[in-house]
This record gives sequence, structure tokens and C-alpha cells, in this order.
Amino acid sequence: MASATSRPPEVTPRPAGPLRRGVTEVGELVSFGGRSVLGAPGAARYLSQSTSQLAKLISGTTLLMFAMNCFLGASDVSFGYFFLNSIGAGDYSGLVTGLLTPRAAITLMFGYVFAAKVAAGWCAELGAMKVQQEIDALDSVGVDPMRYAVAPRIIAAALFAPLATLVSIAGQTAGGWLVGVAVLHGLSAESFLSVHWSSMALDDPLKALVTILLQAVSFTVIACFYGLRAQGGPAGVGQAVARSLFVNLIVLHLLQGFFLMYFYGDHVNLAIGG
Amino acid sequence: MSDPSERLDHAAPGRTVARRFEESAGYARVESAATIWHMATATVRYAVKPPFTWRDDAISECALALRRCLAPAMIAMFVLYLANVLVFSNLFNTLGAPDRVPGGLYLGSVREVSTWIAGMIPAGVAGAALTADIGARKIREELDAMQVLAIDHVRLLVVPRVLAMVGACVITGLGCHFVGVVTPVAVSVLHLHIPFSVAVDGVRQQILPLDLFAFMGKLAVLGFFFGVVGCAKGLSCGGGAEGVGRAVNQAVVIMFFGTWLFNSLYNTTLLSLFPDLSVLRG
Repeated sequence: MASATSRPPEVTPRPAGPLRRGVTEVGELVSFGGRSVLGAPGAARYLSQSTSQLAKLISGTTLLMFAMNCFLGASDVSFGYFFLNSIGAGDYSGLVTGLLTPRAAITLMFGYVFAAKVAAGWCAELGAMKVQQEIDALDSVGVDPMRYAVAPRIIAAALFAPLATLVSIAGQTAGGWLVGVAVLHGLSAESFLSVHWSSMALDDPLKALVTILLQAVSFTVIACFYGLRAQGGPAGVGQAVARSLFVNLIVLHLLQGFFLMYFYGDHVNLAIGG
Repeated sequence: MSDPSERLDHAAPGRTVARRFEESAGYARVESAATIWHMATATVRYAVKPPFTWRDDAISECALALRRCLAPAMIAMFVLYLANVLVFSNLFNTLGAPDRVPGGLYLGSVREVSTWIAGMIPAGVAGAALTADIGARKIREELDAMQVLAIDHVRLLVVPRVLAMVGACVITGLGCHFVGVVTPVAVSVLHLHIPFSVAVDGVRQQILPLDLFAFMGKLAVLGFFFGVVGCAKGLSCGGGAEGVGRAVNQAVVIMFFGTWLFNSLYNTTLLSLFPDLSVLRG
């Protein structure tokens, strides 16, 4: 009793506020991202992991990517057709899809589809592995989870980007054609397609590919980070997935805005005017 | 198939064609769609029939959802739309029509971009959190406990959350709409150097009540859809470590797909039915 009273009062550290917790989380995320990208060369040993993730990605996501881009192309044409028709330029509806497809639309839609379908799925997978202590098991037998679980997914996402770009452009064109030509009978297929393709410069899809590649890698890193932080059983996995989606959606719009301004902020890269 | 007992089971007379159909992936999809539809009709019935037990819960859930998604949505809308407005203002400037920037880009916001952001952010942020919450209650067997106590979980949990998502989507949409008015005006005044009064007038001529009400109606339908899908997926989430995470993933994919499908059909129908909307004004 006497010894307990003579002990100096315990100093409990002040609990971290929301700002400090947020900054800590961002710091941990960035450090995780650096480590995972550095771990990517080490994933060559587990090449089959990368190829199997890529195969699942292609077979599960390509059709969805095409369909969602169809919807966006359809929305663009229905806006552009009614907007341009009011000034008697409905024949130039292809200009809207041609302008938007490589500059903003496919990168935006890739972000939504990838964040919701792929990154959230990977977060759930890794979270389940974490709470079932499979990650610890990998560690204990000398397999680096960074190389075995995280890096193959980053490689698969990066390899998926070129295919996604092609599929997205095809989907946008198909959706625009469907609404402008087949449903609204607003313009002929020739005039739609010629304006659509001629308002895309050759390097526009390449710039879109750069944006898509960076989105794919950063979403994968974020999803794996929150997946590996999951704790507290299945409910914790659900929370981790929701959290990773929230962060991914914020990062998505920031990357979109940044790259659109970086590539096209000072000139629109169109063959008109100066 | 290498397991002998499994092979025996496969050949067992109890395993009929109907049984195999019930275990197929296509049946699971149909069943999931039917669950969502049943949830939607039950929600509407409870929401319109007194007593209105959902009122207090709906308000507090709506406030929670807005705290989660209003600021992210407005920031996302600002960043994305600022970039779009800058690119398009340069294009309009090249074409010699800089005075068309505020009006044209306001229309682009109210018809398309605001809907995208006010659909995607509540679905991905509030909808995912909703599914995770309901799924966690399901696997912690809270719902079974409610059933034992004869409490209807649809009335107690689902209805307030669905109505809260409706409110959250519409209010988030109005926030995005505000950003969609301010950004084009600010860019055309500060970047293109057209007079403030001309910019404001350009927007004012494009604002039609029908456009705004159609926008809010669209978001109300989307919010109802998000709430119903999130609750249905959370309530039907499987066991195992991956159960809730998988449910959140599936719910968000359905929400995103539904948003884009609905938006493209809605806009084409609306603009065809009301040609007044696309008359050149100003």
C-alpha cells in the first residue's frame, strides 16, 4: 500500500487528435507505397502470382470496363447533341466524345471501375488474409508478404493499364455511336465517327495511358495498405474496405484534376486556332 | 472431384436438376436481385405507412452520411471541374466565344458532372460504410437477437438508413451544384477576363427550374438505390473472414454500375421529352 502511494503519478500521453492521426496515416501510406514499389523487382521470383492476378483481372473486369465506358460515352453524346443542336451544330456531336474520351472520360471511368471492382476486392482479400493470420504465416516461413502478396498485384495492375485504355476508348466510341446514331437518329455514323476520331490527336491516348497507369498503381498501393492494416475480424475487414474506397475516391479526383491541367491546361491539343 | 465422397454425393439421387440450378452462379445473381427488389418494396411500404418510427434515426443517419461525404464531394467536384473548365474555356476562347463559358459549363455541371460526383462519392463513401455497418451487425448476430426479441430489422435498421441516403445524396448534389455554379464564373472572370456581370448573366439565363428539379429527382432515386443495395448486400453477407469485405465490394460495384446506367438513360429520356431544355438561351 505504502509503495503504491509513493509512486509518482503516471503521465498518460495525450491521445492523438484527428489531424495528427491523419498525417500519421498519410505518412505510413507513403512509406508503404515506397516499400511496395521497391519490392516489385523481388516479385520476379513469384511470377506465377503476378500472371494469375492479371488473368483474373482481365477476365473479371474487361467487360465491365467496356460497359461502363459505353454509359459514359452515351451520356456525353446525349449532352453534346442537345447542347450543339440548339446552335444548329448537331452534326458535330462527335466533337464532344472525341474531345472528352482521351482527355477526361476514360481516365475518370477507369478510376471508378478500378477503385470499386478491383482495388476494393484486393483490399477484402488481403484483409481476410491478415485477420486469418495468413500474412503472418507467410512471414514466418520466410516469404516476404510485400513480394508475394502486394507487389504481384501492383505488377498486374500496371500490365492491365494498356488493355484498359484500348477497351475504354472502344467502349466510349460504341456508347456514343449507340445514342447519337442508333437511338436519337441525330447524325449519320460517318459524320459522328469522322469528327470523333479527328478530334483526337495521336498522343492523347498515350497521355491517358500515363494517367491510367499511375491511377492503377496508386489505387493498388492504397488498397493493399488498408487491407494489411485490417484488424478485429470480419467486421474490421469490411471497415478496411470502406476506408480504402474513401481514400481511393479522393485520390482519384485529385489525380484527375492534376493530370488534366498538366497535359491540357495551357492548350487543348486540337487542330484548330492557335 | 478427386474426393470419393464428393463423387458419391454428385451421383446421389437427391441431387436433382433443380437442386443444381439453385446452386449455379446465375441463380445466385437472380436471387440477389430479388432480395434487393424485396428490400425496396418493404422500405417504401414502411416509409409511407404510419407510424413513422424512422424519423429520428433517419435524421441522425443523414447527418452522419453528410459528415462523411459532403466535404469530399465538394472538394472532388471543385478539383475535377476546375480542370475541365480551364480546358474548355481555352477551347471556347479559341473558337471566339469566351462569353459562352459560364452558361455552357453550368449546364454541363447540372446535367452530368454534378450527378457523377454526387452519385459516386455518396456511393463509395457513405454507401460502403453503410454496407460495412449492416454486415458487421449481421455477422455479430445482432439481427438474430432482434428477431428473438420480435423486432423487425427492416423497420428499425433499413428504412431510416435508406431514407437517410436519399437526403444525403440530394444535399450532396446541391453542394456540388453550388461548386458547379461558382467554378465557371470564377474561371471566366479571373482567367478569361470577361466582366463579372456578363458571367453571372450567362449562368442566370441557363438556370431552369425543370433542370434543377430533374437533377434533384435523379439524385433522390440514386440515393434510394444506394441505400437499398447497401442494406440488402450487408444483410446477405456470407460468413468467413472475407464475408463483409466481399459484400462491400459487390455493393459498390452494383451502385456504380446502376448510377451510370440510370444516368445515361435518364438524361436521354429527359432531353427528348422536354425539348424546351435544349433551346438556345441568351
